[in-house]
Amino acid sequence: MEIAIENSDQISIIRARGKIDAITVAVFEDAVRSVINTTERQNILIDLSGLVYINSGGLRVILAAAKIQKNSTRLLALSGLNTEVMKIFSLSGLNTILPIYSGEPEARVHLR
Amino acid sequence: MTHGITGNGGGDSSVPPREKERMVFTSLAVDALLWIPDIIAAVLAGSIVLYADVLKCANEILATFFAWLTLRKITRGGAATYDYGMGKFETSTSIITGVVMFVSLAFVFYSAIYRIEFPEPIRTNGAVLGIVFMSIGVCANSWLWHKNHRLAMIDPSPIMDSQWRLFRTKALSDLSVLVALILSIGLAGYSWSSYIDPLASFVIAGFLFFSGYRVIKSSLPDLLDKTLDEELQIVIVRELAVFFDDYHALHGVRSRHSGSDIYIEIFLEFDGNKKMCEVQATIDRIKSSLEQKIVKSSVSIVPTSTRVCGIEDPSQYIQ
Repeated sequence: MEIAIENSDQISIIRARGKIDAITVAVFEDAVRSVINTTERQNILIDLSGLVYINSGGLRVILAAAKIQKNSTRLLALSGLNTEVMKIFSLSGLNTILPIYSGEPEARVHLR
Repeated sequence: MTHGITGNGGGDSSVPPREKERMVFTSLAVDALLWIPDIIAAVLAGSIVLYADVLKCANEILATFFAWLTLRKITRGGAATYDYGMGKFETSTSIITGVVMFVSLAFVFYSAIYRIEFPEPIRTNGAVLGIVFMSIGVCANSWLWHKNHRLAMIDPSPIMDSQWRLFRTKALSDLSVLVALILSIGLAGYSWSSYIDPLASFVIAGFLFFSGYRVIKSSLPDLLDKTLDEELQIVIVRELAVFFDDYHALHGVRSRHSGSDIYIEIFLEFDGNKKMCEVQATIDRIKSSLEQKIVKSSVSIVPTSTRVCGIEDPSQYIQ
């Protein structure tokens, strides 16, 4: 799994590619944590367009991050989920509590 | 593993422990009764395949005995002595059974190789006796296979699941022995017929291998407190999503199996301005909802403000 973090227009973007599974979930968690731990906290966009699988551990990381963002009145959005990953989000019910966008531009509009 | 997800709790259709105990005891009695003539036939026939079957039966009796012992402990008030259930006992006995199966497998393998190296025809009188007992075995085990399967479908548990699989294996392996004995006698005029008996014992060795492997494979994760499978983990996440607005932060989820029971701990932080009774009401709602969705689960919601196994909220440290 590959993780890239960037800042753009007051938005922290976390890009995950590959698989988030039992082995790689810790890397993903560290990346999300490092973004949240920055002193200047801002809205977060998690771009999952390169992701082919996410396990329950990965879903919990996103859930916990969404909760932290909500508590500090910041936003968290997801974008670029493929059909399989979207199915996992639907099964877990996370699609009902998180804003999910098909592409990054739409997600950026929401987070600005 | 046969743990399932239900939408309605699924606890109403449970078979009472006493009925389960009676069922397993019947199996044990049938096993023991069929085992004695099996030994006599093996000695009289001098057949490796019958000796292998005797060893296999000994393993099955051991497994059934442990299953019966577990249920007996439960029905005699063991539940009051073991607050966390009999899961560890079930797992330990399964591991023992698996190890004994592999030791038996090694013995059967060695005996079969020896007999191939030094072929010897089986004795007809003992073999005929073996054919009679194997025919009875095929019928009795087929009946127990279907009866146990029906009970396991009503109330899934590792014990009942292993029981119907055990009787299926027994019925099929008895059939293999039966066919091998009939062929050995029927084709006795040919010199190569002496090899039918040791070669057929490899089939019994195969049954022992797969049974032993399956038992150990299903027991080790429990012994090592492996977390629940993804299917059930997703159910937990779904409940956390449903109650998203009722807690302040998620600090981790821990889960494990113990026999047929499932233990789940969810570490949540609640709004500090809420009264304890309000927090307790939320805890009760989450617990009840999740326990209804995961059969035989025991859910503990632990209020905490520190990370246990998830990401932490740095805002709690920022003044």
